[in-house]
Amino acid sequence: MLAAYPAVPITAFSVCSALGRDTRTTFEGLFSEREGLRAPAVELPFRTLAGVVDADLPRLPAEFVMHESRIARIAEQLHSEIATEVARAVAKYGPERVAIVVGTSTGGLAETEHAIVGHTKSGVFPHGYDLDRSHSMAAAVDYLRVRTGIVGPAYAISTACSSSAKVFGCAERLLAANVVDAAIVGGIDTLCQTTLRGFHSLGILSDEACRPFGEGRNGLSLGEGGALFLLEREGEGRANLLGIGESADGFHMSSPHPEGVGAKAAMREALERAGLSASAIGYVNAHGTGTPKNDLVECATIEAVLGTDVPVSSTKRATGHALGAAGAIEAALVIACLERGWMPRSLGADPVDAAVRIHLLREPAYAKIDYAMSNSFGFGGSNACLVFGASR
Amino acid sequence: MKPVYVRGVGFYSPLEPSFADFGRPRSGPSEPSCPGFAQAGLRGTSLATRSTVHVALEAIRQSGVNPHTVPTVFGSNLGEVQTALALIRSMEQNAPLSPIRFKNSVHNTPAAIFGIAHENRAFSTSIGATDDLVPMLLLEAIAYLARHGGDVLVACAEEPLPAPLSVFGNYAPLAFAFVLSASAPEGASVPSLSNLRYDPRTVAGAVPVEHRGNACAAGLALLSALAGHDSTTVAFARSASSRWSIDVRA
Repeated sequence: MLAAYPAVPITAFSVCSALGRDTRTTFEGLFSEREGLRAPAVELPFRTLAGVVDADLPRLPAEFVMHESRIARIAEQLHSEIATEVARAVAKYGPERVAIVVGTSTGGLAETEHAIVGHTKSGVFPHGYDLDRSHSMAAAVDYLRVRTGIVGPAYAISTACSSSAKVFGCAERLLAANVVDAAIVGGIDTLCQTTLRGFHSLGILSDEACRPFGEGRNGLSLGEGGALFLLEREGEGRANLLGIGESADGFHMSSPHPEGVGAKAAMREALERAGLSASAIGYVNAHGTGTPKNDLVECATIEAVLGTDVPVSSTKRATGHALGAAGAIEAALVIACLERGWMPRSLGADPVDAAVRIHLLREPAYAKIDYAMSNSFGFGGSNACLVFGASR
Repeated sequence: MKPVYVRGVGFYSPLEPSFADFGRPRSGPSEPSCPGFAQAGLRGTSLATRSTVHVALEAIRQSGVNPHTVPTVFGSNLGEVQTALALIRSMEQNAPLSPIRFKNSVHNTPAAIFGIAHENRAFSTSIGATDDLVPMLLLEAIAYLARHGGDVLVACAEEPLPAPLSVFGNYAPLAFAFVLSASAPEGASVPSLSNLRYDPRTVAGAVPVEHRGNACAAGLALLSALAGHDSTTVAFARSASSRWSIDVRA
């Protein structure tokens, strides 16, 4: 049995997704069961739907315009909602005692796609394009650093679809090691041609809205967006980070271990670090991408670790699969569920795959939830599982 | 934080022969080699991935830790940039993307390739940072050791930028790895690292011209100190704005 971690209060957070540009509209979309998928505004030689952030994103302040990119604009949107709390934390602890850790899968790849096309046409890169500021995995991190004046540890985690779940582990360790007193963590990813065409090349991109856990599902729908969270050593949180489990499959580059060995280990570690038994978990936000193989492995994993009674749903049909930002976006949705005492149904699942034996939510449900779990599994067999507790 | 102990070092550069001969010029170019590593696992991988595996294996061999169970922290600023550009070029020609190339384009490809080859299911992460890649890589490993103890493999690599991106930096490939331990190995004297810190007064040193712009080059001063058995404070320098340093005890 692993030692339990102390709870870490989440004192502020923000989310931007295909359901809405800001936290309020995203949550309204979640609670009203809106589906955020639509045809992406890019030219593709095949049909697909994606979770696009279609509202105007805020411009960067003039002094930071050299960081201009879509990921920086999403970062600006997210920061604008928690700026007061972040400024308070920086003033309280000092700019060197606050960390920034942001998960991403593509970084600024979309900017480089545009830049290369521009270079091919004109022989020069578009004005303002810079490899570090525009393309790097740490582009959003560097923007948030200059935007907030934070000089503490600042880096990106890029482990494909588990990236922005793993950032919570980074914050927990940095706090435990007394390197910092607060951390801004989260994830940001933007849609780009490489991922849309790349997942199509693997034969796992759906040509319709994804149907996680549904009979005859045929793949995932991509998405974009992000979420940021302020975690502090002390304070009253809107929710608490209780446990995190991280593991690897050590099995295959793009397929999960068939018995979910790594995923089970991550879920069990998260439970033990939270100091909870399996029966304490009131809701699971599944990774649930809609690919035939991944969904069934996750079902078997949930059944093995938590049993078949815990309510489970995937929110990927609402937001799209935002890859490196998925873990953070879904963490925000989980906190919304804890606060509201409500669980979303698994949109698109009906009719449910006959092989699914877990308690998949076919209708939304109201219930007091004390503890909820969120799964994130990525390419290369990277697994992360988070346990959050309600603040009451 | 407590000191951590350097039990193994791996180093790759086509310009220098090995960590043991650190600082001496190599007579000719060389490719990373991964002896004992299933070559099928490296099929379709980039120089960034192969050089990461090269240095990881070297550090593992030197340290004697178990590659099947050691937790790992990998890092790079631009990661699989050559693969990313090749995919963009395919799209420019409206050609279908290679599934293998796409799979191998993720930032955690080196971590996955190393982990799959060793069926390693332990903690593994992949970080990205620009100027502060090397201190952040070490910080992630040191914070992990402070929480969990034991050993951690730390590896980073940067491959040359392909044209036309090379206008943003024309540097040589570079990779290095450490096996760090929370406690000193019994009966052996190994160097330690401590007091990794941000200090606005830190003055970053110069980076050799052939490595200028390479995020991994910020680790060259640390490698030099370890190779020279120096007890000193090392500043991590990629650009003039770097402000992180660490104490090395031989």
